[in-house]
Amino acid sequence: MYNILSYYNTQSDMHKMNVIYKFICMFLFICILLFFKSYTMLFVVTIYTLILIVSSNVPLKLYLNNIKIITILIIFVVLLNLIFNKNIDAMILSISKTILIVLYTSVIAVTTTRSEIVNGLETLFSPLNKIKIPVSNIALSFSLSIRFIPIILKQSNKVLKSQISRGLDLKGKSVKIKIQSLTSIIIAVFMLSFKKVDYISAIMKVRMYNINKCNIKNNSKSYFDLFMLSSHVLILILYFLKEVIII
Amino acid sequence: MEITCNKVSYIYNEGLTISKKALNNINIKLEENKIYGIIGKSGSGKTTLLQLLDNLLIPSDGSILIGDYKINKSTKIKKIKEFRKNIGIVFQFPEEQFFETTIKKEVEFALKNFNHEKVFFEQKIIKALKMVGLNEEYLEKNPFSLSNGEKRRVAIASVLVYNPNVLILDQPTAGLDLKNKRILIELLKKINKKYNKKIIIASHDIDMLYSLADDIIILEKGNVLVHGNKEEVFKNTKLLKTHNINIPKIIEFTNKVMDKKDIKLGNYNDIKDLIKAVYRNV
Repeated sequence: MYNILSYYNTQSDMHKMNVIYKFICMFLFICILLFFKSYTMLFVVTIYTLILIVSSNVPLKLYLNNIKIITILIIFVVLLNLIFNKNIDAMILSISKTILIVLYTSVIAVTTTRSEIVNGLETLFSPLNKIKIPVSNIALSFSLSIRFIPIILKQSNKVLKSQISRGLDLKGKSVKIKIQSLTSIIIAVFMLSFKKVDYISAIMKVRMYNINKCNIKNNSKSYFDLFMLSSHVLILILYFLKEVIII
Repeated sequence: MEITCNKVSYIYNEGLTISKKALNNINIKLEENKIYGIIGKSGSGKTTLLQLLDNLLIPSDGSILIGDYKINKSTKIKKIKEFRKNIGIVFQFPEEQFFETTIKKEVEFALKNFNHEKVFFEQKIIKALKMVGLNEEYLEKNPFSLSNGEKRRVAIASVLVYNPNVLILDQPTAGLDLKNKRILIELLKKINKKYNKKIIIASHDIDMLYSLADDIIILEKGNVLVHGNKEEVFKNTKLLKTHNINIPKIIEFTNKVMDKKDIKLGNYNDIKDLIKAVYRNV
């Protein structure tokens, strides 16, 4: 099954965008979303998000799938507002903001690989190195942990299938039995994970991995990155002019 | 137990943009007590077909008839445990799927699930281990401490212990050395002949399948390319070459000798018999 918010491999300006700029833009966008209160701003931000979606070159269906997931949340928000608030404008704004935030983060998630995210976080938090927080080590552990998620899922699925083929049927069984069977899966998964850890560490050793020297990051910047950053700043300025200074 | 696949198709992630058709309109009939070999490139649908036969996957289209049980999209097998008692499946690299701390517990797992009588557990476990050439000394050993060949045999024993009618193996010789491969081939021959079990093997190991199987099914891109007697299938070297499938070494050697010496040789499973025949004719 396809995971939501997984990287979608295609060619687009959003895919090529520098991850640091992506994070800064996302931070600015969330700030704008959190504070605006007018329909004008909602219109501007919605159009802007739609432009980003189109420029990401990712099928629209994928974004719609992500919105489907929050349908229950939207219904819940609508119900709460109808019962307690009864302010239709506030309700429309809060629901629109939720949808926009999901769409925006989806654009970032589907156009950024996991390693780019980790490298981006590492660069963003690199000032913490000065107070002796090992940011590179944390980032490496984080990226290796992410690397293990699909392995663990695949292995659990394999063990479960092997158990089912040998008559395991958990339907109607007690919680104790269910936990016991889960424990047995964990043993197999851990054994394989340790084996993989050995492989990965051996591979890193033979390639002379050095955490301070061997990090290959692409920090090139393009005009698109600058355009994106400046457009976000422009929307932020528009927000200040429309809702903070004038009103 | 006869197995019939009737227009079976299987699609992974059906309905999503990333859906993939693994099997396309498969029609095959597998008779009793025979050994079947399934050949095909990676991604041709071998593993999918094997998992469909154990109801681990449900066909997207068509139906599979296994004995009295029918598997299709609309009808669920009600007595699934009774059904699975008949089928034993050994997955690829089964040693990576061990989850118990002793071989006894690992082999015992199926007996517990299929509600066998507890009194006979040990007797059945020892019998299963003996079937795969291991003895009682292995009972308390840790499965993770064994050699690859032994691990593979323990995995087969943990399936044979509940005496299924059909044994399904997914790439059983993958990662094994020549000696362990030979042991496994002899073991599977014994299981088929002595214990009358139908065996279905999916593998890339053409030489193993040539010496072991009765019938061969070649899959390509989810379709059945050829299904027939192994001699007939492997004789058609042109077809195998055009589809980039290896020819068994023994057949390659036979053909070369026949071409060079202008003699006729029969079909041989064993290289020793072939050499004897060459001596007789040349």
